[in-house]
Amino acid sequence: MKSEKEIIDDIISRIKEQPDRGYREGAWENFKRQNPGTTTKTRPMARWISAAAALLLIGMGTLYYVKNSTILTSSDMNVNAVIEHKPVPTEASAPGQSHTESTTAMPQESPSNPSLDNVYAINNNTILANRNNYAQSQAVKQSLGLPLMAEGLNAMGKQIEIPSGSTLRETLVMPGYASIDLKKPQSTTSIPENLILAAKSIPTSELNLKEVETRNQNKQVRFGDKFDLALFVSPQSTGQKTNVGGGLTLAYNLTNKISVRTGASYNSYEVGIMKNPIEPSSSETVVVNQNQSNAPTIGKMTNAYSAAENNRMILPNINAVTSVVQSVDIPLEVKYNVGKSLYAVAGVSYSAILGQERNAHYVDNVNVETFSQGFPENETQMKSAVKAVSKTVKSAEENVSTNGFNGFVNFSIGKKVKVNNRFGVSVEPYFKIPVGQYRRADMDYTNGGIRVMTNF
Amino acid sequence: MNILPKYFKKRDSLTLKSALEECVLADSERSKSYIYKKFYGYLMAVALRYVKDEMEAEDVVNESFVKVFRKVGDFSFEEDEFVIEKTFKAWMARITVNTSIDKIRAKKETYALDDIHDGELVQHAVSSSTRLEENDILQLLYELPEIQRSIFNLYEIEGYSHEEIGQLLNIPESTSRTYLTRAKARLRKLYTDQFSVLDNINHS
Repeated sequence: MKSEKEIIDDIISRIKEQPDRGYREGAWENFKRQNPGTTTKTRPMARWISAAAALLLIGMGTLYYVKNSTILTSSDMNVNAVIEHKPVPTEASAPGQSHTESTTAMPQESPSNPSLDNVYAINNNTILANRNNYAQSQAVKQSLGLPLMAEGLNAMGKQIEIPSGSTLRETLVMPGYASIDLKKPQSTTSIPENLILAAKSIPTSELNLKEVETRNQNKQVRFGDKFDLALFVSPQSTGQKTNVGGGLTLAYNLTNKISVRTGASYNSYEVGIMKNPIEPSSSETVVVNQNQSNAPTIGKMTNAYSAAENNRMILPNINAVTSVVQSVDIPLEVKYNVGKSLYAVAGVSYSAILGQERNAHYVDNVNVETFSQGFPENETQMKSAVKAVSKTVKSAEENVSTNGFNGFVNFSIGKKVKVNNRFGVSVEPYFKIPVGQYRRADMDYTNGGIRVMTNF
Repeated sequence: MNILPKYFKKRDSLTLKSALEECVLADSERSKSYIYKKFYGYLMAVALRYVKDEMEAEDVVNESFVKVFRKVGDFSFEEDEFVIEKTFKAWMARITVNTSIDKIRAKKETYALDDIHDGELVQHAVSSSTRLEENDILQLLYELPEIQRSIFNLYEIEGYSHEEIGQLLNIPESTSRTYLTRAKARLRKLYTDQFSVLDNINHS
């Protein structure tokens, strides 16, 4: 017979040697069912969201990078254009005229010899001496990528007669700017002649820069459980103007939460940009009617540049440029329903440009020839003779290149309110970031607005 | 669309170490399933020392797994797979023991700890084997009141001190000692009785 201690030891050892129970089939499933919070499934949605977030981050980074590099290039070119004042011999000079002056006298030119210089004086400081050089026009041409009139003349081998008033001395006095002495060189090769000084803050300027985005709004019609057709109108206001766009969208519901949305919408983007007229980058190629090339509507400042080449000429000192781009946007977006009525949309849209218009705004003298009636005798006459007016001409340039992808990256969030089973209204604020050629354009087409959608 | 989710899934087989890592880092169902299925039987054996009813034991095990998965981040493990399993089992066993005790304490309101309720008065089945099988040992344990069984297990099997048992069960140390003595005495009696019955059967 075992002792008492042996009995207990035997029991303890037997308990310790107890084998594991086998796994009971279905125990894990039961556990999962009872503890849904603990048994966090591999969350595929989380992975998709992470992937989408990563893509979004990369996309934003790329946009930022592209934007920055564009600005850098443009800036570099402007600097070069200003600094380079090398006299470059040209063969396009009018025969027997100031060819020598424009090519050789430049380094020795003194301000006292205004016949060779165009001196821009702002606040009694000489800001920029615009030599009648070909080099600058080359630089301008580089920055704009446009043919210059002089170059066109070279190619054509033509001579252009200079108006007899080209030796007039013009003085333009404007508030905030001391004076501007303008001399018309007699050489047709001197491109930046007849310069008009202006700046962003010219009080007499009547420029209106409008930056307007048009957006669409949706009305939705059901084509069954899977498809939602939407018609929409979207008011959008930026700065000074409100535009309204419209279109339709077609959504396909992948799941209860996720839909893919496409469609078409008409938009009109109106944007503007101010320019510093004393910088070479302010040049703008404008369209002129040959018959009106010397007409007052264009202004005296352009006379010397009027060229026969494709009815275009370069207007060197633009204060501002405004543009209107009309397009049909075709979006491809993913819509995620956050709750019953709240949703978020992200996607891209291709923008087919239907038409675009670009206008250049500049400040000119009210008279074509300022002192054609004789020099002013008093201050009143002086002021009336040199009064500055703002003028607008249509540009020959395109706002947005149609070669390549034009589009936007779209983000929006929306709230849908059901009126009854079949009718509902959604409000969807949105934000669009330009990509492709829109991004490469000199203006910022970033826009936003609010869609008000009616769902059927 | 099914291709991508499949692409995301890892296809390599899990080890305990990788499952634990995945459980901590990704909180994935796959790793939890692996751990649950691997140690379900072990924890059931632990729980059944304290809880007689198998369904109740499974509740204890499930509750323990919930705690395990919640606190697995706190479990520090070595490189060696064998050592990991040993320490992880000990860690889980401790959780399961505590859960079992909690379960028993919850029943304290219904039954007096030292009482044997009706269910425990049922005669245990007499094995026809010539020796006490493992299950018979458990049957002997089940003959003890729950509090005595818990104290016996905690002290003799798990290695707790009377002080720890007192804190765990919220009883004085002296009570723990008393219950342990009673449990041992009862077990000896049950053991002896069981043997004598078996001897009688074998000799008759």
